[in-house]
Amino acid sequence: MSGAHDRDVDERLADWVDGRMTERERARFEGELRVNPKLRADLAEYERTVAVMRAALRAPTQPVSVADRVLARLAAPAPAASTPVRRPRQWRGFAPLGWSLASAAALMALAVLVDSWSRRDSVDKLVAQAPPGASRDAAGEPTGSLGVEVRSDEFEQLARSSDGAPAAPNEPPPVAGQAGTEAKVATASDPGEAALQQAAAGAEKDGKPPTALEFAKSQSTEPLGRPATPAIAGAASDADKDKAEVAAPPAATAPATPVPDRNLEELTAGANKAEVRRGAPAPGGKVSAGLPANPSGANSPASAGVPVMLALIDVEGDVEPIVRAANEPPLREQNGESPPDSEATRSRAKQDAKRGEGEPPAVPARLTDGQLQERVYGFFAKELAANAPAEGRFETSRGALQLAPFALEPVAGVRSERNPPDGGGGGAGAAPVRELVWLVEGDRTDLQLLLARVSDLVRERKWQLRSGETAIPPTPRFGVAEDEAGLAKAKAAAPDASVPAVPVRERLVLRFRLRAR
Amino acid sequence: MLGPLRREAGRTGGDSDDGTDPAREYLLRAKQGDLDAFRTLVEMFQDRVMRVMVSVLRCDRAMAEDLTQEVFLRMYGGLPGFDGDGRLVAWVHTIAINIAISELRRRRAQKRGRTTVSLDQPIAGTDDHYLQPSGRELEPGEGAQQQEFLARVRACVHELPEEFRAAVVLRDMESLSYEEIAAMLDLPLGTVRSRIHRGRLLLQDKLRGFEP
Repeated sequence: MSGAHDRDVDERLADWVDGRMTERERARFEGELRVNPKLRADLAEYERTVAVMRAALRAPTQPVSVADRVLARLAAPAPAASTPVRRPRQWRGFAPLGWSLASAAALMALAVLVDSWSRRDSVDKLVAQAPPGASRDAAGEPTGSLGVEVRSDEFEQLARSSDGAPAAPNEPPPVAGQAGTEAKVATASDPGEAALQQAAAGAEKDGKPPTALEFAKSQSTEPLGRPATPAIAGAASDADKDKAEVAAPPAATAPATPVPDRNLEELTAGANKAEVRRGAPAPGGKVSAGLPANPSGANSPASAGVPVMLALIDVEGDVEPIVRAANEPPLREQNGESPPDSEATRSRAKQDAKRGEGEPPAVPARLTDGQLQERVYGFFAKELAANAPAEGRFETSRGALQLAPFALEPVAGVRSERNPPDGGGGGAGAAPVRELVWLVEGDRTDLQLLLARVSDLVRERKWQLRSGETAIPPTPRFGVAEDEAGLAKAKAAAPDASVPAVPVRERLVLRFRLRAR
Repeated sequence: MLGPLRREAGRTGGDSDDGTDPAREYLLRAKQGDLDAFRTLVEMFQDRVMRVMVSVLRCDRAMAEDLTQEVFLRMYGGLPGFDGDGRLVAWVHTIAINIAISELRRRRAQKRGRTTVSLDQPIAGTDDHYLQPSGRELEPGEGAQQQEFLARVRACVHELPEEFRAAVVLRDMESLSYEEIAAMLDLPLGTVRSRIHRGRLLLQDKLRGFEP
């Protein structure tokens, strides 16, 4: 090397400092040092840096004593901690998030379901009118399916209040979050599961309010789309919507091949035009890709339906980014577009904010429930989907993941440590709580991916996760045995039909409680 | 000008003057099930492992302790298979680096390209793992200034990109040879050399203007 010395590529500096030069190399380098002042200066600085770094890194540290703990663990019986449990490769990374998120969820999901219970009538009517071809009993009961039993004084109270009679339209929604909520997660092997399923099937007959599980299972044989009518702004009342839903075409007129969207459009025709407009029909093949048709054409019993996970993401944070990010109508631009990109979304939101001079930012307080619903829906459609979504239906390698909002209510007077209604949260200016409830159906893996993505969002947006956690038992998702067992079970249930092997389909009730900061 | 660094360069640590590994005796006893000997080994290496964890992972003390503990548990499990041909210190560091890399991968998978700051990540310059120097009287302000600078240096090391940080820490903190680092990181020797060099240059750039 002549005078042209590039310190970035001159790794001889490292060789020199670390003593890795041969005698000959060292002699040549020293010769060059004598005639090259820049090299000398660079070497001096390099040596100084290394010396400083070594001094800093080798400075005395606080004493560590892990010997006792190590020996204690060695002395402990059974599973040697030195052999970590290997996770399936596909779960590496997002699995912890998914699990923790999912576990965070269930406790307060009950509140959602009970709140939704006030809308039970309309949902049940939709369920009753759903196309028979959409039932999924052929898929069989997957192993490790979840049943969630809810025990909540609050919910019981709410359920009683809504038993047999929907809440008055102008009646403020019940206060949620006052009572401690307990959730018990039971696996399918739990003896209580059968009783719960039986209770779910017989709840209506007994005239008793169903539990959260019963409520969820009551819908479990129907395709997911937009099962209930969200509280769209401008809608006259729940009663009006219910009437409109009653007037919808009965299921008998629906085609045998499940085309849930179209049926939902029919079902919701007249109930809410805005809602129907958003429900753009998707190609039937895509819609039914993951949903095996019931060849018998009959609805399956509730006990054989899609298991339901109850998950609740209780977040407290700034909902404004959501609103801004989803500032465009959610369905207008998404079909066929590139996959959602949160960076792109954010930059677009910034551009929107700049462009909208004179137009105040869309803060939640200025949005109607329907607008918020729509925007949040758009937000999730962009943020949660790994591919271009179409009206909450995300095609995956395992079928379709369907996401449908089915309730949205501002919950007045919700108490929390941070925002008590008695003035601690700002009195009259206390931030309203928006509840967003989503009924999600899809493959368990997709649901877990969704939860992982939601988990990322929660952390990304610096929301606060406030609920407890309940674990979703891991499933050897890609295990051949499971799929084969499911297929065998499905074929046994419908031997004459060509039943696609749908491994594990589950439903997830996902609730967000968003509170403006 | 060519002073102490060159003289120090040949030392790789862990060996006694006669070239024998002082831990070998304990190693042999530990392989035979002597837990007291293994405890001695843990006590010999725990500080080094802990420093590697803190430096490579930028994690807090609690997590570093957990991972350090994991290193020794894994070491104990691997004792029967360790033939003793290699240096024990290099083997321990290899285990530590493997665990650190696993942890880094886990974190990376969690982050998936996001630029959020981990809650368990200590704020730069506020790490509490290092002690205040003792043993001599310091002028008022001198100690604080010096410690602040050293903390700044450590923070800058922590800010180095992962691939450079591991190589630099193993070389300049743990005095491991290039060959040992290459074996630990499963990299070609030339790559290790390049990473060490470039990591130092990055650090040099970061430190400009901060020297006391």
